[in-house]
Amino acid sequence: MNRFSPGRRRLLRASAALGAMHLAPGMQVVRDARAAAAGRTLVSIHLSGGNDSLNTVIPYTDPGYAAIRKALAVPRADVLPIDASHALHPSLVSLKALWDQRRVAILHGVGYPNFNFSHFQAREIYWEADLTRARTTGWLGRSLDQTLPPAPSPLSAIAINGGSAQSLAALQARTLQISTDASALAFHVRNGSQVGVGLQSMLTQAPTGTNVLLDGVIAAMTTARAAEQAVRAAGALTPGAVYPAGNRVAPLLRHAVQLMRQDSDVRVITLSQGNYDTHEDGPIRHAQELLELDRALGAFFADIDANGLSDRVLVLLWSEFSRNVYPNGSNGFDHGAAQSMILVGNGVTPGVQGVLPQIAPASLLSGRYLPMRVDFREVYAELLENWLATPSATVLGGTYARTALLL
Amino acid sequence: MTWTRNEAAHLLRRAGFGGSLEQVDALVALGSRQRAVDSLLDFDTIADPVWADPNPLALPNVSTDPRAVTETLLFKLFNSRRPLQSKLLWFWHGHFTTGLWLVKPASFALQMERWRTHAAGRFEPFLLAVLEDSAMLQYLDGAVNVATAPNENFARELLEIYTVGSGNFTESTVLQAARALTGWTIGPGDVGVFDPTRHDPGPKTILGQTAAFDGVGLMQLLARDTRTAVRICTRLYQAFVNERVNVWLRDQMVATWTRTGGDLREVLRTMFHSDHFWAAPQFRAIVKTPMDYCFALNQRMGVPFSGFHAREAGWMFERMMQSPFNPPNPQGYVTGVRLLGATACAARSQWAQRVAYSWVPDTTIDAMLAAVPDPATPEQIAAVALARLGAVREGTRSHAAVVAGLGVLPLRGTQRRGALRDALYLCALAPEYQLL
Repeated sequence: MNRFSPGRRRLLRASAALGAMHLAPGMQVVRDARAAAAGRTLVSIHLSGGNDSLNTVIPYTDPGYAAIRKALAVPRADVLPIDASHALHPSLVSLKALWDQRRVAILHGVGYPNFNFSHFQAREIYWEADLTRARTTGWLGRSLDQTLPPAPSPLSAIAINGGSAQSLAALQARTLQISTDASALAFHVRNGSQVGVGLQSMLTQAPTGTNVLLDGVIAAMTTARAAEQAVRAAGALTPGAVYPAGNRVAPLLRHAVQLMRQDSDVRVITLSQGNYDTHEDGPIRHAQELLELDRALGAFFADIDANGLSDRVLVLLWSEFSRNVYPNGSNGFDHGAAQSMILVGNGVTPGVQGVLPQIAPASLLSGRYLPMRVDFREVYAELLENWLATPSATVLGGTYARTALLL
Repeated sequence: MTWTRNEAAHLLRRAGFGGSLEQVDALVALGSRQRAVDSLLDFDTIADPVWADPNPLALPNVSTDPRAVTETLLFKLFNSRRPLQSKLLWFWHGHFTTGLWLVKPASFALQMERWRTHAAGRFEPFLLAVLEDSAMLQYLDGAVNVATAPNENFARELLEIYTVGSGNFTESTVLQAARALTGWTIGPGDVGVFDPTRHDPGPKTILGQTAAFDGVGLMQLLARDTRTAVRICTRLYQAFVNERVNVWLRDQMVATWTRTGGDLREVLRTMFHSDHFWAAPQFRAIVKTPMDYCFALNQRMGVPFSGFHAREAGWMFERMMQSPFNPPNPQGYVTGVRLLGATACAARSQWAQRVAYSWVPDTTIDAMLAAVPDPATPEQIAAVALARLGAVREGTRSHAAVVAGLGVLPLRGTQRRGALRDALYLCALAPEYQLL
C-alpha cells in the first residue's frame, strides 16, 4: 500500500522552504521539520573500492587533466559536458538526464584530514563519522537513535544485501538487513498452520512491564515478525519502471522503491555497488561499473517518479576515497584522497559546488592526490539537519558548518 | 546449601554453551556449587582430543582457507571437553580481537591456540603473548611500526580496548606507546620477533612514568595497572554474570586480581563462587550470542555438531550478526538486544526449525515421549519440551503460546511426535530462551 499521500507531499514542499531558512531557531520550526522528515528517505549508495572521481566528474577543459592522465584520460570527444569546466563520464547518460532536470548536485573536494588509504579503515571513518574509528555506532544509526519514535516502523533503516550496514549501527534503533529475495527475513513457518498461530502469539506477546531486558527481546522479536511480513508485501508490488537485466545493483534499487512504497516511514536505505578498486585496467573497468550504476539509477528515478515519490527520495553517491591523479604502471590508478560526492533528488540545489584544483602537481596533495576542501562531516551535517531533521552536533560529536547541497 | 538442576543448568549456560542433559546431571551429582564450579574451572587435567588434532574435520586447505579455519574452530569450540575453556577462548577472541579475514589464516589459527593456552592463566604473560602474536602484528599494523615511521594503530587499540580503557590516556600516550612498540616484526615460524634496529630506544613518558620503554616494558606496565584489572573484570562480569554490572562483585574480582598478580582462574573462581552469581536476578540476564543459542540447542537436544553443522553455522551466525572470527571492528562483537535484529531473529527461527524438525531423530523424540500418555493433551506435550529446553515456565505468556501452537485436540500415537517437535521449536523461539 502506498501511504505517501498528496497531502504529505505538499507538507514536504513546505518543509523544503523551511529548509532554505536553515532551520532558524524556534521550536515550532524544528517540530515541523521533524514531522516532514518522517516522510523522507535517504538512499546511500557506496561506490565500493574507491571511485575515481576525476574520471567521473571530469575537468575536461583543464589541460593538466589530459596531460597527466594521458591515455587513461577520458577522451574529450566522448564526455558529457554539464558546464564550461565539467563533464560527466560517457557512461553516465541517465545521470546527465537527471542533471538536465536540475536534480543533481556535485560537491568537489570532500574528505578529512590525514587521509587513510586503507579501504577497511577509510570506510569505517565514513560509516562511523569518526576519524579515530573508536565508535561502535554509525552516523545514520545515531541519527535514528535520536529521531525514531518509541515504536518505530520495522522498515526504518534498511541495509540491502548488507551494504554499509555499519553506518546504520545504532544503540537503540534497529537496522534491517535484507536481501532482495526477502528469504533472510523468513521465519519459514507456514501461514495458517497451527504452529504458525503459536509463533504469532509467541512473538507478539505483551511486554511484562517489569523485566526490562525481556521486554527488549519481545520488542525485537515483534519487530522482526512485522518486518518479515512488510518486506514480503513490498516484494509483491509491481515496479513502476523497467529495470535493466543482468545488472547487479538494479534489483537492489528496485526493491528499495518497493520498500518505500510499502512504508512511508522508511528513513534510510544503504547499499553498495560495484568494485571501483581499479588498480589495473582502470578506464575499462571504471566505465563498466559506472554504466551499471547509471542504468540502474535511471530506472530507479523513473520508478520513483511513476510512484509519486520524487520529493521524498534523496540519493547520496559516495566512496571511501577517490584515486591517485597519476596512473600507476598497470593502466590503473592507486588509492587517492578527496572525492566528488554526488547527490540526486528533487531536494538538491542543482549544480557543481566547490572547485577542483588545477590538475597540476603544485595544487595536488603530496603532488598526486585530490586535496580535501570540505570535511565530509559538513556534508553529513547538511543531510542530518536538512533532510533527516536530526541535530547534527550530537551525531557528529561536534559542530560542522553545513554545505549548501540541499534546497 | 541446596544444589539444584536449575542451578547446574545456569552454570553450564555461563561456563559453557549449555551442555547436554547428561552434563547437567553430572554436575548435580558433584553435590555442591563449589565442586561443580571447580570441576569446570580446573580444566587443565581434562584430556581434550579435539584440540590436539590440527585438522579434525580433515578439510583441505585447513591452514590457508579462512572458511576452513572458521569451521574447524567452531567444531573445536562445540566439541571440546573443557566447556569453560571454549567459552573463555570466545571471550578473549572478542577482547583481544583479530579479524580472521584480514590476516593469514594460519596465523589466526595459531593465535587461537595461544589465547586458549592463556585463557585462564595470568594476565601479564597473556599480554606478552599478544605482543608477540603474528596475527595481531598483521591485524593492527604492529609489524610495520618502526622507529622512522611509528604506526599508532596497535598502541591505540592496546590502550583503549585491551588494557586501561578509554578516558585513561591522552593522544600523547598513544604516540609514546607506539614508539615503545616499534621494532616488532614477523619472523620465521610465523612468530613475532624483536628487531632492535627498527626500535626507538629513546625515553617515553607513558601513564605518568618515564623510561626507555620497549614492548615488553610497556606490556608489563599496562598489565600491572589497576585500571586494566578493573576493565577486564568488568568485561568478564558482563560476559559471564549480568550485562548490568554489579560494582560490589566486580571489585571483589579486582581484589582477587590484585592479591594474585592477575591470576585469571582465581578471578573467575571469585566470580562463580560468589552468592551473587547464583541469585535470581542473574538467571536469564544476558542476551545469548548466536553461538550460545545454536550450540545450546544442539547440545541440549543431543544433536551432534559435525563438519556440516560447522559449515552451516559459519554463514548463519553471520546472519545472526556475529560473523564468526570476523568481528566488525577491534572493539569486538555486538552484544545485548542489538543481536536481535530482524534478520537475526529469522535466522534463529531457521536454526531452531532445523534442530526441531530435521536434526533431532525420531528415537530421541520417542524417548522423550516415553512417559507421556497416549492420547496426550497439548499441555502434556508442551510440558516435555519445557522440561528439556528450560527457560519457559508454566503459566507464562510464552507457555500459553506453545500450547496454542499445538491446537486443542488430544494427540494420538505418532501425532504426538509432530506436536513435540512443534513444541520444541516454539520453546526455542520464546523470548526467555533468547537469554542466557
